[in-house]
Amino acid sequence: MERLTHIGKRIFFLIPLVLVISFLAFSLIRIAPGGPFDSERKPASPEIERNLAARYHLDKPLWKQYLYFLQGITQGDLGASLKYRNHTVTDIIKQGIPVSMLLGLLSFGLALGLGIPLGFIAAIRKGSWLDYSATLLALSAICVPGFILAPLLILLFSIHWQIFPVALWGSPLHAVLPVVSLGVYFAGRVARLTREGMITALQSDFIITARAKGLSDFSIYFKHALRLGILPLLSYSGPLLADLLTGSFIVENIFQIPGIGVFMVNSSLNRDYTMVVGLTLVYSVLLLILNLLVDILYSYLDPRIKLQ
Amino acid sequence: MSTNPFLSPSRLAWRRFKKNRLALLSAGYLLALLFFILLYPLFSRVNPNELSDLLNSPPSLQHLFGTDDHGRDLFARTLFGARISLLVGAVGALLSLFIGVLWGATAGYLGGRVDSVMMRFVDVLYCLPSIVFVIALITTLEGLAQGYFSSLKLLQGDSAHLIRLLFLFVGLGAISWLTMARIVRGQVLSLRQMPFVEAARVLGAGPLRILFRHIIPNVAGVAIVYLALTIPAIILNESFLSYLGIGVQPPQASLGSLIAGGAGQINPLRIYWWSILFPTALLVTVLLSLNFLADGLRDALDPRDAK
Repeated sequence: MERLTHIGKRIFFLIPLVLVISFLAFSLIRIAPGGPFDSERKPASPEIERNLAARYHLDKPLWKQYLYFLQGITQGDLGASLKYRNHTVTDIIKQGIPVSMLLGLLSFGLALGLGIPLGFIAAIRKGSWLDYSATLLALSAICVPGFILAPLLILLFSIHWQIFPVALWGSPLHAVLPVVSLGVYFAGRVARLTREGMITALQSDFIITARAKGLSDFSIYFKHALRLGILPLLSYSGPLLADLLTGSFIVENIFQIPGIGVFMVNSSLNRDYTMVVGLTLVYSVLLLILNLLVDILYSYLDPRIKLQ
Repeated sequence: MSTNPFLSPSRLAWRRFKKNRLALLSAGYLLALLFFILLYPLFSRVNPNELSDLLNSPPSLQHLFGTDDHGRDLFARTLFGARISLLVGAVGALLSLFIGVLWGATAGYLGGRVDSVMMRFVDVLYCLPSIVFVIALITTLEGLAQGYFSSLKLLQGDSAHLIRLLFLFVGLGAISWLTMARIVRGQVLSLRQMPFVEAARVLGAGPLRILFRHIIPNVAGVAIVYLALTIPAIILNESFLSYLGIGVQPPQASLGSLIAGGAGQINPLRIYWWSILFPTALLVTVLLSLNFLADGLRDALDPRDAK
């Protein structure tokens, strides 16, 4: 019960945080000089520009624009995109986010599936050639940028061997190359975190006790050490999942996948205010919720830590 | 390892660092590369920005890494780009070190309400997608600078490149100091309870003296380790910005913009592999050795592992 009230409190405190974040995103992008209609066909007459500005409340002071925006949110309306004017921001996000989320979840699975075993093996064989090769592999994964890996994979698997389609999104086969290009980097991060966590866990006193009791390697590694060893990974997985679920510009751009990662970058470049704020809000709320979940899970896995 | 009680902590750290051959090798590679990059302009007459009629020619004795789509020598451009990438990484990381240590140490040392306000600020910035933040920051600064300098006719030629570079430093530094601040604050929180801090206070040292003379030097080890991890992260971020076209401005180049340029030349008929392979190889080896170096530094400097 105490835990439940505590979680309730945490959720309640998220509200002011979200307000602050939304206001920051709202003002940050607007302070930048230049407007969303700068690259329109010129010359637009002053009246047209004035009408456009009035239509989107751009002629009002910043705090008033923000109030309009908040009023919209309470009705689930994030406003119209200033770039794609026939679409509302909510529509674009609704269309793109399932795709980005699926891609992100699959990549998350790949990252965990590759990364945890790799880090685990490196940790329990610390200092051996297995450790060195696993570390080298994990580091290489971190050091190859996605915009090199993705074209390379296309070149090999789509053009040369013609196993997977070059681009687009549809069948499960379409998902393979994007998921690999996105997931490999994070698998490297996961492996490094698992290795560190496991090494720290294996040095704790309770492991020495477990060894003294004569427990088997298997039960020491899997039942006792792993539970603590994945804690660093757990705290990283909040931001990791938030990043993955909101899409990746590079992968979506290269494979022509209709997710929201492309919008995230393009809207900030185009100064599509409403779009930027909407996407930032999605990202921030997702991150806050995931971090809360991570904290709760954390206190279950490590009973020494109290939720606070 | 036989621990000699008469060795100073830094000597001990150096001993531990030397044991990590991979880190030592990486340090050697980076130093050699640095020397070569810095000295190259002195003994070569090749201008990395000079156009020629030899478009996209493969590697030869004259052009070791071939030429790009404007006929520019890729060997010179790659070295030139590596210089910019390393510069952005180093300056951005130093900036993040400066802000992060100052912010984290102040919050941790003062504690109480100041601490919670300062750290909530960090929490809020953490929640913004960093790519949106950095794009907004760079375009804002650039817009302001354009408004300011266009009246002075300063924003032309070299000064425009310099200003873009400056904004890259600021933008990348601004998104990289958050973790540093958190780490430093955590360290300071435990350090300020230590007897030696109390002793300094009893002896009459003021808060600034305690912070800068007694606490921050003790954070240095952890901060250096994280600094070494920040440099490759910033280089990677810069290469991403270059890929988006808001990194360094042409004809200047960074490793990222060279790779992006090479990748843009890919078509189904021909691939000018040299225009991608060489900058990529340099970028990946630099990032790898920086990471190995950071690993070695952590083993050497982080007191937790010093057993």
